[in-house]
Amino acid sequence: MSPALMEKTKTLKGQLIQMQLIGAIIVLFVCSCAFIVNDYFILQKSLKRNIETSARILGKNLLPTLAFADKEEARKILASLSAEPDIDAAYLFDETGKLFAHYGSPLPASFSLPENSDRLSRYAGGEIQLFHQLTENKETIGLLILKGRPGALRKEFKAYALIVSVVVLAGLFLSFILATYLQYQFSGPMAALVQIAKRISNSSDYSLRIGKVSKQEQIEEIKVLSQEFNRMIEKIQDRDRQINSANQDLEHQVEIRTQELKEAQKIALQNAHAAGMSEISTGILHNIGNIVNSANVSIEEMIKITQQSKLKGLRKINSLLEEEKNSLGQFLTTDPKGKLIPEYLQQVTETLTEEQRSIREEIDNLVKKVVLIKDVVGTQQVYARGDIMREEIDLASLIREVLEMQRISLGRHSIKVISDFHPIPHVSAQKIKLSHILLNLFKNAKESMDHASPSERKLKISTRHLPDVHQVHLSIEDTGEGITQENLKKVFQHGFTTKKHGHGFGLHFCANAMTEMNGELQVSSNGVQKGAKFTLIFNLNAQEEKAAS
Amino acid sequence: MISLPNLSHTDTNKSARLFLKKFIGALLLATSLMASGQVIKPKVQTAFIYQFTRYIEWPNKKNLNEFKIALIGSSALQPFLEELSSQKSVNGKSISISSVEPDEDLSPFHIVIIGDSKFLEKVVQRTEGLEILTIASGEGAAAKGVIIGFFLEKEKMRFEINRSAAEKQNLSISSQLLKLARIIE
Repeated sequence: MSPALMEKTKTLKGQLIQMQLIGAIIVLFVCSCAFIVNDYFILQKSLKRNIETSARILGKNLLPTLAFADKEEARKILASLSAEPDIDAAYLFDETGKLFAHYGSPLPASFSLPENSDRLSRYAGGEIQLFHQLTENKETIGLLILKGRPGALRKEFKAYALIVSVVVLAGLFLSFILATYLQYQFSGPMAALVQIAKRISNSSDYSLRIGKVSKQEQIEEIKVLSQEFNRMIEKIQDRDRQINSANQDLEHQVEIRTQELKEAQKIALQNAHAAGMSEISTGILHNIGNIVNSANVSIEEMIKITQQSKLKGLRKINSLLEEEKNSLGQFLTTDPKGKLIPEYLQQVTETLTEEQRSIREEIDNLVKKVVLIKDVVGTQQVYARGDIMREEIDLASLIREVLEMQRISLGRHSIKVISDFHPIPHVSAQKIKLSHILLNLFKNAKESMDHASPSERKLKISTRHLPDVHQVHLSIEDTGEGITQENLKKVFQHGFTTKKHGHGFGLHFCANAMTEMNGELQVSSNGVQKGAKFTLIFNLNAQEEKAAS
Repeated sequence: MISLPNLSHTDTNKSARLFLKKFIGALLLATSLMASGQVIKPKVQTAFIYQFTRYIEWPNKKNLNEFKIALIGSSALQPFLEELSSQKSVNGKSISISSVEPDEDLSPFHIVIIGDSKFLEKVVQRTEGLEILTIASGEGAAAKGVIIGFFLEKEKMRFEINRSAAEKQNLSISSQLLKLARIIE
């Protein structure tokens, strides 16, 4: 069956006609079969009755022929069966069981009488055989066997088959006409309904309605269906109007809300900017604070130097020399005190020279820190411009510089610095930012080891080049209080701190700064009191990798 | 040859059945022998005579205690008829066989068999209106007033019936029997 035809049979019209035709065929076929079977049995019965009647009449006429052994007359009588279309053959046996006369086909050699003596007729080989005893004065003097001709039945069946065919065809034709009429009555309005539904679906034109057709409206259910459909469409149309109106309102509301959101976004952006600025400011202040702390250490050192200066002794010597200015030569050569003065002056000179050198160093440090502060402020300006200055940095040198800045502080905390620098390529980074990161990490390491015994305070700094992954790793490992497993996840969060006076900004800044420099900051710890290890990971670009190789 | 089954449920007399079988067998044998040129006329005639009693009705006034057969001038049929009378009956009545003279009173008899043709006319004359079936041998006997006359046709024994004679004797002959006979009006 072609797809088009299949599609056609799926329509209501096709289905109705198909079902009605199938129903008609089934009913006609069943009825015809029932009639044929009934007629078959009636015909069979009739045939048997006819043969029985013939047998009775023949038997009566054949009795004298047996009585007077008149075979010729017997044959004549049997020949009269030619007028009986139902009887095919007849056989007359005498009292001794010998064939006396016959009509029609000769007795077959295989012929035998039925074993069941009660049976007076039988069906064999598609024919009926009837056994009729010829009796006289209650004495059996012969037997007449008649064979019915099934051809008569077959002829009847042929006629029946023809009648059934004609009836079925006529029935189908009438059924088709009836089905067509019914589909016009029932599926016609349904098809119109479907058409309207399709048009509404395609065009969303809810003003469409099913028109009134007088014949269709004769069927109450279809009339109700059409009315209800129209009512439903009206409701949909109303709702559509309401939805459109609501949509328009909604669009207006959305527009207003969008405007409000834009305003809010603007404010939020401003707030965020302010917050960003605040964060940046916090960072700068934090870093400047670190530098200032370091500067304080230098100043304290200078104050200490100046407080412990030998200048007082020098003043005493000056006073003593002032007192003995008239006899200075004698005093220096003869007086026991005066004899010590030249040597003392020599010692004071050396001490002051040393103090001067130390102060000079601290002043240099202070200058460096002031430069660093200037750089920090400069970084702020870079941020403000959105420009990020990156340069090729020799990590080992930078580490040494930062360590130098922390030297006094680390020394004061009795922290032993272990350097394990392997050859590494230069990395691309912002020097100031990286300095702050190192400063922060050294400071944290230093503070974490406050509670450790001085002999165990160790700060190990190592560098590694991992060419396979194109990375440079800088590790800063301490033997301090360590980090719990839970806190490991939070250490880089803004505001997280375990220090009494901490702000929770330092590590947050470090992590962000590393990310900004296309790097990464990782932390690991074996647990509380087992130290911590911070690793700065620098991803090398192709040029850096090439330079390294 | 096939053996006939007992298809009916009638209670038959075994000896009678045996006789009938023998009789019909004899009849068939006789006709076949006649066909071959040998004549055993008396026995066949006896069998035919007995069969006639089945297809001919005598009036009620002939309702005697026994069925009487008279034999005139013929001694050849006597033994066969006596054998018949000893074994068979007609309508439940025993058969009696008597050899009589033509001049005797024939009115008690149902059948008078004329064995000698010379007594034909006399017997016909004497039995007229006496409800007696007259039987004689030889073609032309019926034409002479005898009701049934035996004759040979194509070496087969047949019989002729004089219907008017039968009517005169007030005897009713079955149409089935008439169908087998040559009718003399």
